[in-house]
Amino acid sequence: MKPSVLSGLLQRQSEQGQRTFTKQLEADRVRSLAFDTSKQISSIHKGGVTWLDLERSENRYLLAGSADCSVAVYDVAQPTQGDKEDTGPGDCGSVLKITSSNPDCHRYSVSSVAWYPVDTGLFVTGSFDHQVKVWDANLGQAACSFTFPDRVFGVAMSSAAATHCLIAVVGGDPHVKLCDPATGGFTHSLVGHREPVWAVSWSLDCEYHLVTGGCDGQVRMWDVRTYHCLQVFDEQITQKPKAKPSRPDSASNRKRAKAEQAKKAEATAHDGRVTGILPTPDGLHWLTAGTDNRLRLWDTQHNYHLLVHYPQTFNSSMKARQLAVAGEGDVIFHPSGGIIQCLHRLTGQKLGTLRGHLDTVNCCCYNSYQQELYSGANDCNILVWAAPAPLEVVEGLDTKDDQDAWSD
Amino acid sequence: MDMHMATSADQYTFEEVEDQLYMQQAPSDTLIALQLLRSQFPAKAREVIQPFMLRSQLYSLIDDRTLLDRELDDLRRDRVVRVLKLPTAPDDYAYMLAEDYDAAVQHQYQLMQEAGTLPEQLEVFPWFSQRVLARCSDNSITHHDLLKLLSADRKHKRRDEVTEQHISLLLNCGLLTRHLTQKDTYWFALAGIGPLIKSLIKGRKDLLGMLSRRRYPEMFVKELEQKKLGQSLLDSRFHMRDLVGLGSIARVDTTSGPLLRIVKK
Repeated sequence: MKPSVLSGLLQRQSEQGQRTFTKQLEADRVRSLAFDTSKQISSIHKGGVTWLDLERSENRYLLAGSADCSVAVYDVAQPTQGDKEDTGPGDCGSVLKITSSNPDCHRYSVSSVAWYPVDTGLFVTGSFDHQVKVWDANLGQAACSFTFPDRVFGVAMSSAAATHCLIAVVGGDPHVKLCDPATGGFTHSLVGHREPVWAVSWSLDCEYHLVTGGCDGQVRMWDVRTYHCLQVFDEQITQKPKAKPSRPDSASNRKRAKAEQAKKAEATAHDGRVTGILPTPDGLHWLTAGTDNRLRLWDTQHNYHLLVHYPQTFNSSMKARQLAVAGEGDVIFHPSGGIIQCLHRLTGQKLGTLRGHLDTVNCCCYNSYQQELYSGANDCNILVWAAPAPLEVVEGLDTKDDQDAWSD
Repeated sequence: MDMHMATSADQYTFEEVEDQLYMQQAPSDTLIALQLLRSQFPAKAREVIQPFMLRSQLYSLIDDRTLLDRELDDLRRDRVVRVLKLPTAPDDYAYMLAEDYDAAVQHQYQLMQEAGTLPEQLEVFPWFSQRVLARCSDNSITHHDLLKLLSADRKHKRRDEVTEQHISLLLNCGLLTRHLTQKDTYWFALAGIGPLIKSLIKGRKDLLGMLSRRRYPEMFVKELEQKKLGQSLLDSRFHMRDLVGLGSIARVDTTSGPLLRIVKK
């Protein structure tokens, strides 16, 4: 039963700093997401929208990369005053456009975009033309670019980073590369995957931990300070691993340890290709999506598989797909075909479906300030999903309607 | 349930403790569903293979899939059921009760004995049953672990010699198959699954084809049970439950009885 607003306000006055009423309101708004008619994002793209990223400092600027090589930044907090006649009152237009008229523009489809986590002065784009470019957001020019041996499928920068600003790049080459925009060169590459890697995400708690997922079904956690893979997520491990007593060093024990290591290195997280990896905002779980039509939840501390079944999360994508998690972390948005499924994180219950796109949905991005979801699809649109505004109650005498409509 | 009041908040009466123990021993929903499916396994297929249950069939019987997954995992770890991967689809798993799997191993042992295999090689079957199946509850095993487990005999503390011929005997019987992507790993498999894989794939295709060829892609369950799926050893109820669990078909209750309808994605 939804608590009434008045009782909630009284409760908010009495409680001290726990925000239960605000959280309840936010949770209700997230559960009632629907196609928003009051706000539209006028997309400038002529090809499908492949990746979205919302900057975290103000939750205001949305960066979108598209299959027609263009990149655009939209202001989603304030509708732009358009001089054209067809812009409506709630239209959010682009504040920065990088199209083919820009000499630095990519030559093939942009596959992934990421804001610089500290401020909105910089963003990174990765594209199928084997390039990763770092752009100056104020000038709209590329500050530097890195060339790779194969197509780039994902770029990511760590939001927890305080000592480094490395960009993790994954693509058709099985090695995960790290490059540094401060020096303009590659630092090192992480070896372990055996097939193209599609999904990448930095950890939220440690600035040196990176998680990547590849076409071989493996999800690996790396420490970028060393060259080693810390953990391989294994779908068969479903319990907290017991602490093993340390064995004395001998030849047979070393051989046994080596065999165990080899076995762990072969473990897979999905029976198909991994298309998306996302940490939940509270840092407790990791979410991975794969083409075996499963979405899996993992515990962060011990990296074991929490057997939560998300029903009918069909996935047959040929590139990475972006997942989103609602601010407090309880609702997962999973794009599947032309719809976006809203699933409860801990029980796997289906909370709703968002239908509105005309073609395959590629990416979705959640705005926790306004409890809105932005999604981009191959139909070149970016749609806004928000809680329906409360209906206005018109008070006053309806004398006009009561009047008879015939002449005397 | 009994209605005795506890004498204090922490103390339980004897009857309450007994009731709790009884409830813990009562079979879970998942186990009951497994036993139901096992009893309904088609007789024609039972001649070829021990009864197995597909995970999608269990999904069609039980609503809460998270609970089902967790209970199946507990049963697997307690060695009540064995999980086996089927090569039909990336996410297809079959479950077989541990005693049925042991019976299948025994059956293969007898077949090989009648075929005249050397007794030193026949030893691998009891080793497999007592040492490997009892210790390993996963659906796959590495070559190194297999050798280690087959050769170790904990009671007499001795190690037996395991040769390549022992392992190839297990592979030929169909109890192990080579892993497709990982090297030096084997999957536990169902012996005699070959004709059933074809039945499974054909049966799914036939049932979906039967529904989609109609003007309105739906059919009553009663009508379906009367039709025979020609190329499949498994009956139509098996395939129907499998497809409902996969999400390709929805089962709708109507006033004239349950109706099957193809789900448009």
